Amino acid sequence: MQRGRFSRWMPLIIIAALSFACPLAGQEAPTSTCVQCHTDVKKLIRLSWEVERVRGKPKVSAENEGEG
Amino acid sequence: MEPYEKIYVSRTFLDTDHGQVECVDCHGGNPEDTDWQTAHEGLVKDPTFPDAESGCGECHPDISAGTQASLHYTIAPIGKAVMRRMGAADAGVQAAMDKARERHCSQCHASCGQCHVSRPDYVHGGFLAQHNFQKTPPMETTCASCHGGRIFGEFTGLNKKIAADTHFEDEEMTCMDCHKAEQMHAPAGEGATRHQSTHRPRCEGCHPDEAAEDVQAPAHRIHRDKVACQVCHAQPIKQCYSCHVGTDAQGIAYFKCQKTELDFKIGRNPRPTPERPYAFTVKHHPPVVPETFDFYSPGALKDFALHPTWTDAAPHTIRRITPQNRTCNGCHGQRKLFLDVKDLDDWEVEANAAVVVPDDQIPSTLEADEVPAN
Repeated sequence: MQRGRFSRWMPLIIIAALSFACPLAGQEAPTSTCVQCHTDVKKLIRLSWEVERVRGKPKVSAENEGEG
Repeated sequence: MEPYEKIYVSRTFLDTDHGQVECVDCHGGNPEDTDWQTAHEGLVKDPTFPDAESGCGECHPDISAGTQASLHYTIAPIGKAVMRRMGAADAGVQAAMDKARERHCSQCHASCGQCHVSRPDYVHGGFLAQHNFQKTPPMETTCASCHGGRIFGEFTGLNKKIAADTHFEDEEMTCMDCHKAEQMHAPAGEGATRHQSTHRPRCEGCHPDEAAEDVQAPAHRIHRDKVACQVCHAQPIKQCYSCHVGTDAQGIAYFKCQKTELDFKIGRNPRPTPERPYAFTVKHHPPVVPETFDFYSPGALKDFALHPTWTDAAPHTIRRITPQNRTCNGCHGQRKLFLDVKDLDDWEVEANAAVVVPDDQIPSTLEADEVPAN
């Protein structure tokens, strides 16, 4: 009876021990600012407005004529 | 393409082999900086140009070394065509023309990244698939971005009344089915154009029986080595005339192309080679005129008349049956199919003397008893 109760808790004890030993397990690795921004659609949309305000839209000459 | 789409990176990319490399290792910039303006200082947008080997050579040394000298990477034939028409030039003219070439010609190069990762710079970039590398570039975006003006429209049937190329319409082939990686990545020899590339696609590569000496079809037997395949099997292609380039008051490059039309012209082959022994080939008119670069350097193309303005074409309008091969006399005796001196402007008569087909060289109309039996 005593032994059965111990084996029931054993997996939880092991998981708890591993979690203390490896505090980063289950968390995402830290990412650079590049990755944080370029994988975030909302942030990119906001930033693209700002970039456009600062740099303007790519320009095409109004003097172009015919097929390029 | 929305601006954010051009630079959105999928998280799936981070799990790929290329995604294991730190962004800063290829692109530079300041990865710890949270201000986008200063974070992008020193950023290298395309790490594969102008040095393919530093970007790709560590893992793909053979491919990157060849690619760096390839026609797509260097677009050398365009520069050489301009220089041939310039002849010997003094330093001032040379500097002005270098500027013109930089502004109007050099934008069309294709680097490793501009085929396999993003759209070409010529169309202002943008990832093909959220930075996931594409082993085979998608033709609708990559090839069509630069070749959309003529080739892609011809191949896919976008031109009014001209059927799509049979390889596309009937066989569902893409550009890459003929233009293999070996061709794209091959270094171009000195002075080489696409017609001299040893890796270029050739009709007989897929249709060897039709080009064999003992070919069954009488038309193939009779015309073998005399007429390029496209003379019989291509439809009209886009011809451009009289393009002028310059820089507008805002400092933006512009072009003015005065005429574009669909036409089909057969001309003489002025320089037969063992590989291209044909007497007749299909011709294309590039948009250059003696004044094309006058904005930058008036009269710079002083040797203009030394080189034909009707040059060998690579039509992408191939059909098994065309108006000119439906019957023998669809071509024989058809003056309008052959380049005539009347098709030329005065200033290009001299340049095309070896290309126009005089009346006495037009194949004569066949009588009924002269038509070979099938």
